[in-house]
Amino acid sequence: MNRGNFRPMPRQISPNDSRGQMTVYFKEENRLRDKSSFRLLLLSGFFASCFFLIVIKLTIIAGSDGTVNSGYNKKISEYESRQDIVDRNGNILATNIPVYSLYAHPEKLLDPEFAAKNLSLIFRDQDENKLLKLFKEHPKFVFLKKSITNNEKTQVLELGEPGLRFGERELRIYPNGSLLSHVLGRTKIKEISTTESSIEGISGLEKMFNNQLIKKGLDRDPLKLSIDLATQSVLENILSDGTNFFNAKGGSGIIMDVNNGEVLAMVSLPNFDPNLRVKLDYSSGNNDMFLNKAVQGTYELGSVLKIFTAAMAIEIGTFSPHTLVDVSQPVKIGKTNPIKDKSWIGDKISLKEVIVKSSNVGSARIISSFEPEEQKKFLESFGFFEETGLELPEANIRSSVGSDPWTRYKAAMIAIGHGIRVSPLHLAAAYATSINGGLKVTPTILRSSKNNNNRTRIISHSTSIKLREIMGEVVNSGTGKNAKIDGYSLGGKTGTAEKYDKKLNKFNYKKNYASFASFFPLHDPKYVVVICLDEASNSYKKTNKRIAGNTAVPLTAEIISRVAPILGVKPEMIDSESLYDFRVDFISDKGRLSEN
Amino acid sequence: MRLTFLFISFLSLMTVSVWAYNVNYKARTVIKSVKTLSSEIQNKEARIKLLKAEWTYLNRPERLNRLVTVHFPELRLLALSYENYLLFEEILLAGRKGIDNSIFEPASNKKDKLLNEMVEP
Repeated sequence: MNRGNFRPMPRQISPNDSRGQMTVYFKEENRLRDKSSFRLLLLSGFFASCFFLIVIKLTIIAGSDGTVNSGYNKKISEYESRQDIVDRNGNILATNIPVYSLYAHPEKLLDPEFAAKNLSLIFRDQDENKLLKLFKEHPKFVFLKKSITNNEKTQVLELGEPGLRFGERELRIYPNGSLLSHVLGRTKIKEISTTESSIEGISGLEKMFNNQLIKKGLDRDPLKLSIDLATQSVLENILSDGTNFFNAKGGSGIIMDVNNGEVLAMVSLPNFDPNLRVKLDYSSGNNDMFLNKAVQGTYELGSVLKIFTAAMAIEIGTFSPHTLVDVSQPVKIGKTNPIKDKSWIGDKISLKEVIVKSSNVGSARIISSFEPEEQKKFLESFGFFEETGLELPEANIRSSVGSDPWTRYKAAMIAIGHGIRVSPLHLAAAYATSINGGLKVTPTILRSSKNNNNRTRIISHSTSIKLREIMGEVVNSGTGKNAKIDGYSLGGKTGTAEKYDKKLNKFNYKKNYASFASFFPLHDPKYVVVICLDEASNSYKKTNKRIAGNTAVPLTAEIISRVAPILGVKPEMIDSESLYDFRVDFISDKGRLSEN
Repeated sequence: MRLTFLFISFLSLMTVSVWAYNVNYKARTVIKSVKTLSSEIQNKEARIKLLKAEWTYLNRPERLNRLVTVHFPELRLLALSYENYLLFEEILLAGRKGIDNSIFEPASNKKDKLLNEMVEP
């Protein structure tokens, strides 16, 4: 190896040479130099490795998206909060507020007596002696309050007790109180640990969409309902006033879009305030307020179902609204009780008049010209015997007709609205189907959730128009004339059904279920309104005080006159008599004669 | 040559080490501030949520109805009714003068005329 002039190589000299000792020196130096070179090499290798490691690390950092090992983004994306529920205009219906749980480690309390005394002053539901007893019995841990506000937390902090601790949590609140309580449902706090909890839906939408509402991720939208808060408020206020005015046990109301089935308002009375978190108590008898009468309750609604008898007669029979029907004698089928009217109506009246005057005999006579099986199929096609499809866990019911065979007598009873138990929601959906042109409507509580392009046709468009005309006449001159309002035309059908009294073992004429199913505007229906009152009585009337025409009908008139302008329904600028004239086509505004 | 190379390598190593240290230090500071900011954001979000809830509570229909009743003498607010809707002609009428008299005719009269024409062909 040529080392050049770097350092002279030691020369080989004899041990006897006086310079022998120098040779030993050079040998030693060479050994040390070799050793140092090796160490230098090792060190250089180490530094080079470090250098490359740093370079690799820097390359990784430079090439990363900023999320590596930060631990930050992960925390943000998993930040969990139950999502809001909003109405169709974005108004908040349910949201969360941050609250704290309060617990104590009694062994760390500086002065348990002082803490107990002051806690009982801050929280009225806490007793000083009980707290002291708890502190003594459980020195390690005592859970004091599930949720306290920020203000209460500050007051507790001011006590300066290190043994009092807080856990962060959220509280589900409903800013509108009892408004929409049955639709939104109830929640409970599910304890995971002392510092952690989650909110769990136990009824209504909170239960139905529990998983969707707690879905993790940053791109979460609030649950948007088809409900319109202003419409809901008007419906609830008027229905509430109405049930008080008519001394009704309860009531329910639905406003639904006739074309896409969106429910704009739904009320069931009595209702409850979900903020109070009242628990079901079977002994107290307060469970009636948790029942959503609009979707869960099934009732014999009476004459409101007669319109489907008329629809069947026109659609699959040879009837027209002007076909004459014999109503002179009660209808007697076999050995059963004869079906009769409350008063004599006439000898022969048209099908239209059968509905307008709500003739039991007429309806029974019409249905007697069909096979019972045809009636069953026809009602099935309207969806009476299946779930409505509304997104509420409580809406999983169907109409019931009993298990006995569908005889001619049963068909006649169903034709007048008895022997079949229907929920107000089923009724609203069936009415929407019958007057929107004949296309089946599936109710929904969500905004634009369903595609309504491929809807099934149930009845023809011309039958639908004829039904509108018949129901318009009910309001114009029949049992629903108390529903006439300025500015808007509407159609509908009343129903007053006597309730079966278990004690008397017969129908009690003093206990009625009054209902009015209506729609507006008459000539171009946009919304269907169903109002039902349980045991309502109009004390201002001397006679017929319990019939729907004097209870549910005027209430509906008030609701529609308030709701229609809110929903942007254009008033019909015409005198009230012409409003119900079907010779004029109000839709196109060209005065075209209608089909019949 | 080798000495020069080693010297440059050493210098580069030292420079890169200092730079890496700085980057690391800055990154730690940024992460700390991000954590503070994220905590602040969460607090603000919670505050916004609380304020929104409060705002909704203050604007609940029941309270607004009560306020409308209480302040009726000053505000004279009334529920929306069909009378609040006007025909286009009636809107024009409010802002224009010397216009064709036919537009002053109420809409109901027009409908009546139309109806009569149809009944008597």
